[in-house]
Parts: sequence; structure tokens; C-alpha cells
Amino acid sequence: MLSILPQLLVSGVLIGGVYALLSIGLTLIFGVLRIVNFAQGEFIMLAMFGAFWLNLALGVDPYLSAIVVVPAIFVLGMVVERFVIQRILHAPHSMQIFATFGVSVLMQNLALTLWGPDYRSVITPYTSQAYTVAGLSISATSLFAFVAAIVMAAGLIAFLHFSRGGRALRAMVQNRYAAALMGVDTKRLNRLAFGCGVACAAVSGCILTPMYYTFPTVGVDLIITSFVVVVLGGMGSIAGAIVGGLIIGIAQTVTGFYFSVEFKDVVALLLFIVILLVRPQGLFGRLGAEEMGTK
Amino acid sequence: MKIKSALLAAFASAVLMTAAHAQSTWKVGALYPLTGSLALLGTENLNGAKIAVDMINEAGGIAGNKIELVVGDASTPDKAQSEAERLSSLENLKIITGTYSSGLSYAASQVVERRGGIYWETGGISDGLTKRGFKNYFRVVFTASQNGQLAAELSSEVIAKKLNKQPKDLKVLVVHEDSDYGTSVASAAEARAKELGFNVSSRVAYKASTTDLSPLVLRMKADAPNIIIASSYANDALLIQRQMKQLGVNVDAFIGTGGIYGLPSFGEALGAAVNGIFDTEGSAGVNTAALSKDSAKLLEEFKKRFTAAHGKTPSYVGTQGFVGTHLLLDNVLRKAGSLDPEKVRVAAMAVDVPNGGTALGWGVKFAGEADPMRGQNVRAFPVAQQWQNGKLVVVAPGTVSTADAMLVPLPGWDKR
Repeated sequence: MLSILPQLLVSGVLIGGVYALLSIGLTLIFGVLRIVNFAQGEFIMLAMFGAFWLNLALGVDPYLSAIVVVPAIFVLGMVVERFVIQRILHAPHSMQIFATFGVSVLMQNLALTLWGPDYRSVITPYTSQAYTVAGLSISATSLFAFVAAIVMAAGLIAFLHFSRGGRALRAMVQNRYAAALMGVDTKRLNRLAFGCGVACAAVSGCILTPMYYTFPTVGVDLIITSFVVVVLGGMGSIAGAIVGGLIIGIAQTVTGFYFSVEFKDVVALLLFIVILLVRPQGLFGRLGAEEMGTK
Repeated sequence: MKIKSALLAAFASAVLMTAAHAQSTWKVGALYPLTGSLALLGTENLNGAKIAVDMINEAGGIAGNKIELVVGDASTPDKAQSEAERLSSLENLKIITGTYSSGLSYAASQVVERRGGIYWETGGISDGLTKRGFKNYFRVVFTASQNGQLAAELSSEVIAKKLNKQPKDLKVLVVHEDSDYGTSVASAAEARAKELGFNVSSRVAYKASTTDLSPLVLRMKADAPNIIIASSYANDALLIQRQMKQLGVNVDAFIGTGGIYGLPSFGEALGAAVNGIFDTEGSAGVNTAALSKDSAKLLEEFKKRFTAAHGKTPSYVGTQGFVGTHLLLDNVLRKAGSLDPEKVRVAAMAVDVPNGGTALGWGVKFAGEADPMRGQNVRAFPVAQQWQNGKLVVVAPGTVSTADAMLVPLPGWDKR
């Protein structure tokens, strides 16, 4: 039974990459806007439908379809920010939850009305492919998701630290009003950040289309673990999303095999509780981040 | 004056006509999950039911009454309960049909039974539904236990024979999603497989909403079973197949127990790799030679209408909605001649259709008061199908099959 451990670790790292990929946008939005976007899964779902339809109509590879789908979702995200998020930015948490949850329900049912409840899938040559390295099997689609997560996280971190816009964003995160006084256009930055956050969701949607069925409620199943990952990694921390994703992925896979497949989520959540008891702000988070910059 | 009286007469006759129209409509409640995660099959089930209503109405309705379905969206057990309340109290409906999913049926029928109405289940298969001793609850379809048992029987009667092995020399692994549906089908499969002498290595539960099943598939790898019996929901079924391929897990036979395994989307997602996989549930493709003349004609007419309306052939779930609803209207309400629950109950208990008398190959006879499965159609049975050349064909039992099982043992992934 122990001989299978290396494979379990590899599989755990790969699914951890998927979790990280799904979580980056969520943590970015929280980090800047201090809003938990409960509609994040639905933006993933919309991107999956985009990739699916482009594949069906024009035979576009789902990965390539990101070139069209991601900008489209980015614009949609800015529209949602303008008409929903902006209005609740300073509202109580419960109202923020209701608003983003409402967007989620709306988008689910819109997809249901437009495209029906069917399970759609895209078959590509690499859909069920695996590479074998030293006797260990590496799923091609998961590997790509893992690489995409790392690239996306590295790109965002570089942007935040080395560009003018990124500095402005960090300044705003530290203190909204001081930043505004220094001439930072906070409204525009908020909109940009929300657009980027859901664009990250769109990237993950395009990348996951060859792995899962596409249907109106797929976002709910996909995003649920991300909330845990984001809190574990530290809300707002992009590096935290990667590390959190990997920890949850490995914990689930190893305990799923040795202990119980059914309770693999429970084990991951127990680990989550233990880490939070030791570090309430999450692995890479700062204490009080949820209030920071809003007052 | 003349104009005034003419207008009055016209108005009066219009009122009379609407009144007559209202009088001649019989309303029946229909509860299905039409939004949320169960929407796909809930809608399909309802679409089947609607065709039954159309066909009855076009043939003159029942005792001069047109049938109208009053639809409620029962997407969760809570909503099933509140919609059942709405239909039985606000709409004052005494006959309610549904529900596709067992969990929803439990919730909705509780309300209807309490209010003295009839609950007519055309889809939920959990055994417990007919173990509650409800007076007015009728289930047309087979049970989860029957379905699980069939998977085990298929293993001994078809698969073991093709492999030229005794059950004791074959290792069976049962995996299932952990809701009521998966658990009840899988535990029945496990129990029956043990009875039949198989070496059942274990039964492994998992969550259907999961995004990764590599621990499950690696357990399969460590176990190295000959036969896998799986009860799944949707993405989980796809993950099992794809991760089995990626992790190189080969088996002699793979049996899915209904749901996604019998849907076109499963074949579409797997391409040629779907061929050889078995599926146990009902089927719209039973051998028409086993059907009575009338039911064969009904099935053909239903398929024609469904395809015309929805641009795809009906799955089993759509067909069960049709068969169950047609039975309710044509055999029960027609005989009862009224929507009075007591009369409808008596008419339902009197139904006696021999096997082959419905489009799914079943007969109909409901278990009576003394039976521990009160209200269950004792003549309903699941069938075993297999994906062959991208299509499902019925391979067992012999009385309704249209083809022989093939691809046993299942070729390795490198050859699929």
C-alpha cells in the first residue's frame, strides 16, 4: 500500500494545481475589493460554455478559445462591477453576500434558459492523456492546469510588485482614502481588479473544459473548495492560493486513499481548522485583512 | 335596444362558454426539479409526461375532460415540500405526479399524503418510498434494490460466463456516490453479488460533487478487481473513466447503474471508449416483440413526438415519465371517472396489466395494504444495456433483449 504513495503525491499536487487555478481570481477580488465573490463559480461556468460553443461551432481548441473568452468575461466582469459591486462596496457584509449570491443565481438560471440543463463535453486528443515519468502517471489536462496556475500567479505577483498600476493597487489596498488623496482613481482600479479577478475565473474555465462536463450548475461544484483554499492561504494572498491549493489537494488525495474517499473533504477541512487555530489570518494573510483599507 | 340585447347575448354566451371550458378541464399536479442540479433529468421526465397528456387530450380527453398539468419546480427537498403544499392547498389539486428524484419524492409525498391526495411517482427508485405504508402513494417504476441486484446478476449470468470463470474466482468492487440513490443501489448490488458467490473486495462511497477521484481510482488500482459496479451522478462518472485511463486501471467489465451511464452525454464525452460499458436501468429500447401490440404502438408514437419536439430521441427517463403518466391518465383516471382520491385509489389498485403491457416492457400491479412495499408496482423491472458502437442496446434479460453482450473482457485502455 505504501508503494502507491508517490503516485498519490503526484495526483495530489496536480489536483492542488487545479484548486489554485480556481482560487486565484477569488483571492485577487477579495484582496482588492474586500468582497467575497459568490458568483465566481458562475464566471467559470460561462467561460466553459464559451469554450464549448467555440469548439462546437468553429472547432476551436478549448485552450485557444481563452483568447476570445477571457476578454469577453473581463468586460462582463467590469459591467457587473459597475452595476452591482460598486453599489455595495461599503454596504454591510450580509448585503454584499446577498448581492454576489444573487448574481450567481441569475447567471445560473440565465445559462439554464439559454442553453438548457444538458451535460456538454469537449473531446480533445489530450482529454484523457497521461504522461508516464518514472512509473508515475501525470494527467495531461491537470498538468496544464497546474502550469497555468503558476504562470497566472507569477504574472499577477509581478504586476502587483513591479508595475505602476500594481503599486497603485497595493496603495489602495493599504488605505483607500489616502490613495485617493494621492490621486489614485480608486473607482477605476476597483473595476479593473474585479474584471481581472473574473478573467482569472475565465482562464480556469477554458482550461478545465476538457476535464469536466459543462452545465449550468458546474460552477458550484468547482468553486466550493476554493473558498477553503483562499481562507487557508490567507485571504487576498495569491501565493497563499497556490500553497493552500497544494495543501488541500495533497491532503485530500492521501487521506482519500488511506482513510476514506467519502471523507476526503472532511479530512482536508480538519487540517484547515487546525491551521486556522494556529494562524487565524491564514498562511500568508495579515491579521484584520478583511477590514483593511475599507474604513 | 336590439344591439344592446345582441351584445348581452354574445356576452352571456361567452361567459357560458368559458364556464363550460373551465368545467371540462381536469387539473393534475406535476412536481419535477426544473432548475438546479437535477434540472436535466427532471425536465426530461416532465417532457415525457407532457406527451402523454397531449396524446390523451388529442384522443378526446377523459370522460369529456381535457387534462392540464399544473407544473411546480421542485428543485430541492424544501422546494418540493412547499410546491406540494401550494399545489394541494392553493390550487386544490388531489392528484399529483412527479418527481424523478427520490429525495424530492419523500418530501413532496409527505405533504400530499397528509392532505389526502394521491401521489403518483414515475421516477424515484429509493426502496424506502414504498416502505412508509402510505395509503395513496403509488410508484410505477422498479426499486433501487432491483437495479443493484440486476448489476450483480448480470455479472454472474453474462459476464462470468463470457469470461469462463466461476463467481468465486472473480473480484467485484462496488463504488458509489453517497446520496440515498447511490447508497441503496450499491448496497443491494454488494449483497446480491455476495449471495451469488463473488469475491466482493469492498464497497467505496464518495461525494458526487467532487472535482477529483484519483484516490478512488488508485484504490481500484490497488484492488485490481475483475468487475466494477458503479452508481454515479454526472461529473463523477466522467472522472472515474478518464482517471482510470490516465492511471492505467483495466477491468474485465464495468457496470454503471443508470443515471448518467444511460445518457447520450456519457457516450459523447467518452467517444469510442464508451463501448463495452454496461448500464442497468429501464430502457426505451426493449425488444418490441416482447411488448403488446398497443404498447408497441404507443412507444413508437411517443418516440416520434418526443424527437419532433426536442430534436433528440427520448432517454429512459423521458420514457418513464411518459409511461407512468399515460398509465395514470388512461388506466386509472379514466376508470375512476373522477378526480376523487378514494375512487382513484380503488381504480389504481384494480389495475392489472400483464408483462409487456407498457412501453417499457413491464406489467402493472400495485402491492396492497398488507405488503411491506405498499403502492409499489410489483411487475416493474430494470434491464441491462450495453454501449455498442456508440449506442445503448438491451442485452439482458433474454425476454426483452435485442443484442448479445460483447467486449467481455473489456479491451485495455491502450486498445480503446
